Amino acid sequence: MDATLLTIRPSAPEPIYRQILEQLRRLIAAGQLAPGERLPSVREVAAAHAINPMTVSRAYGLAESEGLLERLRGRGMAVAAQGARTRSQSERLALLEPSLQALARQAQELEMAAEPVLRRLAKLLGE
Amino acid sequence: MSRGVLLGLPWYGLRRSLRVILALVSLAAWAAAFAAVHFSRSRWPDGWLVGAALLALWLALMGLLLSSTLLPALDARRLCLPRLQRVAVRSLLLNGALLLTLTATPLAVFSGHPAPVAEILLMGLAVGVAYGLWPLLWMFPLWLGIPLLQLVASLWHWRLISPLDPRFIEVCLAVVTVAVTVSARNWRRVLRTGPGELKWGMRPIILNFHVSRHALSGTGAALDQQIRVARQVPEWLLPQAAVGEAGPQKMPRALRVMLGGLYLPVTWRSRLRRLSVVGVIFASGTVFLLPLGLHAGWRWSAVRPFVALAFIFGPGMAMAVGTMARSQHLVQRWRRPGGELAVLALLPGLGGRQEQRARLLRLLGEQLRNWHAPLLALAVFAVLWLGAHGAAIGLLLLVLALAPLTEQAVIYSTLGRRLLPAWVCQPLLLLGIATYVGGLNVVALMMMRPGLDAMVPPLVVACAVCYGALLALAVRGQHALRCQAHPYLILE
Amino acid sequence: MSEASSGYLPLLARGLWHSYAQHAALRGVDLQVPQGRVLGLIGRNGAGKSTLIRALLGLLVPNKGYAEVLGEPALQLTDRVKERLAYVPQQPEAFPWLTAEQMLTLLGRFFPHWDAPFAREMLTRWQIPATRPLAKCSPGERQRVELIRGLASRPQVLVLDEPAAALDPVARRDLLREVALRAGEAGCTVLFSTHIVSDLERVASQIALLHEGRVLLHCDLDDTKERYARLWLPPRHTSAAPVAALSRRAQADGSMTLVIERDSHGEWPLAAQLPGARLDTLALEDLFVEIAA
Repeated sequence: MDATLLTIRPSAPEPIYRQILEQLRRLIAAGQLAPGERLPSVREVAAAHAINPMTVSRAYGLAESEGLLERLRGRGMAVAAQGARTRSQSERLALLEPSLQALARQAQELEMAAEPVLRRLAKLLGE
Repeated sequence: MSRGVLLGLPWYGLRRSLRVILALVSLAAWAAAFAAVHFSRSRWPDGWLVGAALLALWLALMGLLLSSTLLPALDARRLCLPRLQRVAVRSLLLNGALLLTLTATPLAVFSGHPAPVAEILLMGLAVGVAYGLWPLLWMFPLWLGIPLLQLVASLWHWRLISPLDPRFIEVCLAVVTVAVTVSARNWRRVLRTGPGELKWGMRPIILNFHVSRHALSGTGAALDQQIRVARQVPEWLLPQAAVGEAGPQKMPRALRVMLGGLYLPVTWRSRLRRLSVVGVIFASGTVFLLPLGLHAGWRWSAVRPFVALAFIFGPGMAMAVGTMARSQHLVQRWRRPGGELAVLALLPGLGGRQEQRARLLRLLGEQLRNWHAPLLALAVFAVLWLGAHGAAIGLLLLVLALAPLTEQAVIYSTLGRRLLPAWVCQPLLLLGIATYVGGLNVVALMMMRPGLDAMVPPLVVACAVCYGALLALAVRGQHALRCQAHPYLILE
Repeated sequence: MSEASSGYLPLLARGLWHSYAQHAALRGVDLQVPQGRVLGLIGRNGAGKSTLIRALLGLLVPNKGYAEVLGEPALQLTDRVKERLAYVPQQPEAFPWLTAEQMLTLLGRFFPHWDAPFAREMLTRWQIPATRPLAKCSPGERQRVELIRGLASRPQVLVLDEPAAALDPVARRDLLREVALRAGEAGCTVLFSTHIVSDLERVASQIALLHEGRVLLHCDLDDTKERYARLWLPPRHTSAAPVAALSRRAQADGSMTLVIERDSHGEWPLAAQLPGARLDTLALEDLFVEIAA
């Protein structure tokens, strides 16, 4: 995996370590990162995005404790063997939860009925 | 536009302290001029001429300040306010006319020579304004031109017309016409080009004067201006540092490089350039002397006073200028939070608190000695050689010692962060300058004719006052410095 | 790093007060920067950032209070500390009579860990005319030279006052990268002041908000984003506004916005659950504006 695959938005309200963690979760859940695939080192990520290495290692550490990543002895991090396989659909749906909540809130603010929103969503997913 | 603005425009930009000095200088010039005119009635027939010349010089200074109306005119131009631009011109003319009438009327009446007095004063004012608007780089040919003119004049045995001569008005008119034409041309040229596009050498003197006046304070916007000026100065005019092996092993040299200014060790090429400037000044001085020598038929007795003058004022002025330059440089460095001070304060290898202080003081003291000792020796030996007697030599030593003493006092009070407030500093500075210049003059006069010993005691008293003040200042600063954590603390 | 085990705080300020003429620049500042952290000091212009930094490094004598660098009193630093400390002032104007090359050569001789190849490489990378007098360089070029000087001494404590103000985006990113990697790998402690918040968000691990001479907020950057939020209360509920808010502002329509903080159990104040109340997460810049405006 290349360090530039991650997108960092420093000014977002979400802390950078969370942004990295979320992206790792998604990439692994979707199978874009295969089990056993090596991750860029903390230094590479930090240098590529000019961010603090401690932030990167914090994200990696959390991902490791979640079982997404595993530490290779002396050779950095890799995607854990069981990481992607065991993800159930409900677990993957949980990853979407924040976005869905935000969507729901915006729809409420716009005083939209559920129907047209769901139709539009279905269309987007169908494409 | 109210009359108040018209009258006040040239003076708004002056700092209060500068206004006070100006008032004092004006008072002194007027008093001296009228005293001279007064004496012309009894013992000194030429006194009125001296008085008129003195006030003409004063008017020239005023004219220089009046030329600063160029600044609002420039702003008006930039902001596209043609009316304000006209106000600037009108203000210049009105102030000039007022100054001239107010000066010429009493002096003309009092002296009994109305026409020549008015002519001399008019010349003074016109030349002052023209000088202020003159491009900086052209100043040098101007300076060289004067002695050359004089040389030509005396070679042709043409003597300056006496102001009492009826033809004097023609000379006066010629000078004023040239001055006014030059001023008008420069004024228009600067307004057309705009100051930003003008090269450093082509900026009028008054603009540069304005910058350096700000530079003294060393804060805020003045800094930006100073940086801008430094960027405009052609690179070959900047000193080239000779860093060499300067470092922890060669600490004095390293400190000199880091202090900069006159302390900076420079390359041979830079040194030659500096020497050549001194050479040009010296050469123009000799050119001044040459016609006088020719005139006197090269008799030693005729030339001797001028040689004495050169050897008293040359080193004397060099000492004073060096003191001023280094003091100002030091104070400026110690005022800038983003400058060398922060580097020096955090530089390893300078030693502990006492060592750091001692090292810096030793270097500054050494530099002071290296500069002043040869000049002092030169002046004293020259005067001895020219046959001065004890009182003259004593006075010379006493007066010249003011320069190094001032520098030492500034060093202590800057490093100890105990500078004098402006209202104490300025009168003291004025007294010091008056004593210094007056003292050198008296010594020079004593070399030329005997019987002036009566002027020594008041000068000694003035010197003593200065010595006392400087000593107090130095002790105060030294004490503060000793209690201070390190010598590189910012002046606030 | 040996420094870490010895238990010294790289930078420490205790009760700093300072005033210029009539204006109080610092009004009781306490600040600690742990080893290996990047502390971003934010504040509006004139909030006292530069004064605080100068007092922290012993460049000025505060009216009251005390500062330490690597365990030594700031006003009496020894060579042991000075060798490991680098400071780049806000508007660098040092040594206008030297060229960049001369300045780096000269100062390099004083620092035992000086990285001359790095200095040379950065001069080229940042396109600085090495043989032109600094007086002739632009403010941006001078700032870059000073940054090179600061970084080339391989400091353990790096203090930068508004370092990115005069840099172009490329040089700015380079600088941030350098700062981030040094902090993360060499254990370098960095304090940098800025009013450009987005610079901080990349590299800072902690932020301190200085407002009118006081530190209003000092915590981990990630925490600030998770711990504070903006609460909007409709007019009918403004009386229920929590007392311990960092800022509160009444709006023209009678509603109220507050910046609130999670309590020790990580819960928002109860007012956030009132009907009609709205809770927004805050980016750092919003937080800064909410508190300092």
